[in-house]
Amino acid sequence: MMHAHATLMGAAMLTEEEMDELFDAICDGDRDTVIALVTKARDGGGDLGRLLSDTMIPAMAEVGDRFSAGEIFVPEMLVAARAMQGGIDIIEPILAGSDHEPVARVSIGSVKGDLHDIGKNLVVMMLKGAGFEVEDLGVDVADEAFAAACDRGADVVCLSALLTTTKPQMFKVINHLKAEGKTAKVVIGGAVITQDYADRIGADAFGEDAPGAVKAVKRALGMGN
Amino acid sequence: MDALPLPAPVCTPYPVRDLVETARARIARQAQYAALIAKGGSRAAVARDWLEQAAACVASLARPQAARVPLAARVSGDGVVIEEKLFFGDRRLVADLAAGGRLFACLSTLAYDQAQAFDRLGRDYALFHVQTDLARETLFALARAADRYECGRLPGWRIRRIPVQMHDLRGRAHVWDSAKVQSLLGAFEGANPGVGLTDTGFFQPLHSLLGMTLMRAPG
Repeated sequence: MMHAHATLMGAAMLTEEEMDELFDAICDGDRDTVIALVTKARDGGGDLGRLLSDTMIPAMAEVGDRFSAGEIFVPEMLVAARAMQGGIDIIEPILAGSDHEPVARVSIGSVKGDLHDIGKNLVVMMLKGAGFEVEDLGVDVADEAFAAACDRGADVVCLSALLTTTKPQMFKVINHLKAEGKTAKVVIGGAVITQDYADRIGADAFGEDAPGAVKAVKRALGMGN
Repeated sequence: MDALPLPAPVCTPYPVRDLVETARARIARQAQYAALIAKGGSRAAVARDWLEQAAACVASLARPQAARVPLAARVSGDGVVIEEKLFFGDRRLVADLAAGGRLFACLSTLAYDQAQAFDRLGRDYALFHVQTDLARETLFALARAADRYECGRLPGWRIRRIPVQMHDLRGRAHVWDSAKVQSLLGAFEGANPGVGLTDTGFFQPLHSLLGMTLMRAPG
């Protein structure tokens, strides 16, 4: 099956069919095939950065779209993310030694008083699968910790809150970051969060689910989907 | 009215492996996991492996305990005053108590922190997610086992579960706010197996469950 990924000018040392196979392997959660093909590309001296951006990341985006459309459930999305990670584990050491930059740096945490991490963790996995460098601050994160993440170079701060009792903390974080002069974008999400709430408290974007959070981060950064 | 042989408030441990196996079977039947397993191939193999690892993790960390205490309850208007501390508006409960029912608070916990599980699973997010799903089902299995134990002690007695629900699945607040739940937790005193509640309404440990049961004599 041909997919809408860019044709690499022989740079990945994979044939067109093999790139399709890699795309499908990620979507199908076939980690062994992902590892085999990425290894072949690496050993052939291919442009791994482009393989990541032009084939692998679009594959995870496809998985995210299928989840958001209700075609697959969370466990299947996790299996695909696992397969993707198999390829990333091969690529990362190579790219770390080059001048390749991550898409952007994101710090994410559940706000102070919120001990839930299910949604946050799904977002972590999807952001990594989309090529972002992710710092997981954990749960019950103080406002100051989000500010410190900005000082460490976060381009985006993602806030998660599950309950009506914890969502007001998001407004406090946004105000704290503004008061401290932080310029990182703020993206929010969680079971009780809506676009309307995000607009009212001045968040830069809202993600309705884990794949939606990736799109929200891109919107906040002015990137295309 | 038959006298109800009231147990002293006590915290009882439950066998973890039985609970985990019950939970594992239930999880595998949930649509999200069943659909993946039905697809076969490597995806299904990964799902089964994750469930096995998650089960081993929960079985190694959890120390399931359940406690049950009788509650002092009196009818007041269209609700019930519980332990002279909180009012619960429920007409059905009013009728049950008027008919001789007795009210109990039930507390169940797996008694381990999510952070312990995350570390034990090598900080693997996907595996940790499956563990969380399995832990939740194990907790429900524990609560059901505790109810069965009480039913076994009192043949013929009817038992009705009354959820103590602070939030729904959308996170929206319900009748039971943190202060009321804290008050109910106080009824356990020395029988509380170490469960606390944050100001924002999270149990600590997270995998803990508080509810009430109404028991009525036969006839």
